[in-house]
Amino acid sequence: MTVDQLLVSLPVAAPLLAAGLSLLLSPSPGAQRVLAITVLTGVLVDGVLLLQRADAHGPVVAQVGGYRVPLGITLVGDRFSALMLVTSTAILLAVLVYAVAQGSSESSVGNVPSVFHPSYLALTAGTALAFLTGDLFNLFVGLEVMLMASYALITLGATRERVRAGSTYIVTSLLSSILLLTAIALVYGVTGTLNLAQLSERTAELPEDVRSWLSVALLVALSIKAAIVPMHWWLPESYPPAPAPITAVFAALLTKVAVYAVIRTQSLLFPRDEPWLLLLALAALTFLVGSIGALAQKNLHGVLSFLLVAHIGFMLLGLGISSAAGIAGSVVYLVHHIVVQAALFLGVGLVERHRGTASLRRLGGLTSTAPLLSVLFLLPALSLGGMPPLAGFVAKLAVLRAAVGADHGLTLGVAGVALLASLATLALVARVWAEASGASPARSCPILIPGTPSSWGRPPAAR
Amino acid sequence: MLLGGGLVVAAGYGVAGLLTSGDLLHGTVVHVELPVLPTYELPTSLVFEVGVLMIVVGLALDVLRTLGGEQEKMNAANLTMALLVGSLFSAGVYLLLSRSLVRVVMGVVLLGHATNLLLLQSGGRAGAPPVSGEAGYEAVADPLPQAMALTAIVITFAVSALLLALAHRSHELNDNEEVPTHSGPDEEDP
Repeated sequence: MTVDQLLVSLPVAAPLLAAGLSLLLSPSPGAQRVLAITVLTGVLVDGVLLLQRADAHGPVVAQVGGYRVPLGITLVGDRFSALMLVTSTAILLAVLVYAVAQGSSESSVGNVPSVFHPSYLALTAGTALAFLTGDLFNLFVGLEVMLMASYALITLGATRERVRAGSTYIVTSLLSSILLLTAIALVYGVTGTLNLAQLSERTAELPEDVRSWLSVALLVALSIKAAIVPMHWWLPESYPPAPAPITAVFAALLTKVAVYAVIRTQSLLFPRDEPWLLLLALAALTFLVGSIGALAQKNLHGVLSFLLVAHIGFMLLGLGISSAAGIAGSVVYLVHHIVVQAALFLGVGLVERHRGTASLRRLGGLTSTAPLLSVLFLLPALSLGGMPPLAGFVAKLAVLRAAVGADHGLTLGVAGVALLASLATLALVARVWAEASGASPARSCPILIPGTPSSWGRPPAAR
Repeated sequence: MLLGGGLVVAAGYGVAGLLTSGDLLHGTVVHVELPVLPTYELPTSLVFEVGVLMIVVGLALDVLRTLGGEQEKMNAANLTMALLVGSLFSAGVYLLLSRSLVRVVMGVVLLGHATNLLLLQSGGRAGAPPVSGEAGYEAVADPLPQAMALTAIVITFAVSALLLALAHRSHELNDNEEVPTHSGPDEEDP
């Protein structure tokens, strides 16, 4: 076994093996924690090495089991997939540490049964497989492994609220998986292969209408998973009831893996020279619906869920421009969005623990009672809004410059909508901050909750 | 033609609802009296389902026909299979739209079957079992779709089991296995 093979196989194989071990270790939660953290650190190191190697020597390829190309499974680590692997593993590791710390420091909040670690490791393996695969069917399997683990995680504890959210989430994901499989069957029926490299050659020879049908079929199937408007309805419904670390991982990773799959399949199998009108229209719709939805929410979870949907639009815009600069912008945005969403949802988890609620109305006085927490929340929020020194600004600038550079009326129009969506995000951040630094709930709504004890938050300091 | 007809039926149904009641996709239940058989209650959304069925069958036929044209060694599309896939799809979607989780599971199973059949069809011509040494290379069916169908069966099986468990849990909590209506976390105070 060469170094190459080891580097691309380990991120998939190690977490799966560890998931099995972790199940065996379930009597001792301590060992489970150590195992999960060790394995995730290992995968992170592996990812960094892979990224370095792919950057220096080009894509790293391994044929699993030694079967030849059309039959066997190919694992490919190029710069895009290695970058996604590193980002996602770093986030997975950070969230795991958060979950462990929360679980050990406060038993009532961290009521995490022993299936948490195995599911989490399986989720890691599925994510890695989805990123590293060089085969369309295997991409489906990777997504499916990841989703299976997420089904277990979202229904942890099986309270009434979680069962409800879980049923919606599972049925929706399942429908999208079946649609994806149907699209894959159609692709195979027409081309006779599922290897992405072979497919990119064979789709070029197809008649124009068949190409468009296949492209749209794949897009529709993946857009449910990626929460692209009008297929986003399940997301704000199903994320909030889960525990904070799980919501953070879902928000940061699951939709983004699907976006990765969209970028990968569309840019590789159906390359376009002209801007893709359908995707640009979807991007504009996503911006509008996400932003307006976020403005209407009364709860931090709801605000963040809708903002998550709105900002998927940036990645669609970058891909829809169909230029190298546009796709590069999408990739930068993808990385930025994973990190920021995880940070924001973890922040909400802390706020909820501090206050017992994530309702916007009850945030008053947070900046004075928990200044550090407020800053921790503000930084990623500003980044999401695109304030200059932060990552969000760089990512937005990259996408918008590509949109302007494409010199096409529609890309310019959608770029305008994107700017509006950014403004809406900033306005929301400002509103949340105003609520948080404003009067304590007892003062701000004395009629609604007359008997609120003053210990909920000090009255604002005179300033 | 099938594709266009299906679209017309499905969209026409939606518009008809719009015209009769001002509601897009508005539906009612029609009672059909049949001799001998008991009275059937037919929701008018059945028309919509038929439209969807025609679209799916048309699409599948279209792609399969292209497949036949592209590589001559493969036979033309199998109409029976295409019809079957289409009807399974529409029945599955119909069940999926129900509130009861058990019916949803049935829908999932039907959809899984439909997809597996489609996967097998995508392999082209039927042939000898792809077991080494059984038949010549030319006579053997394409093994890859079979492997994929197997994987898909396992996944559908696991998810159906999980959904059934959820339905059971839902029954324990709510005394029925329907997906409860929204009791959102943001309905705290007005």
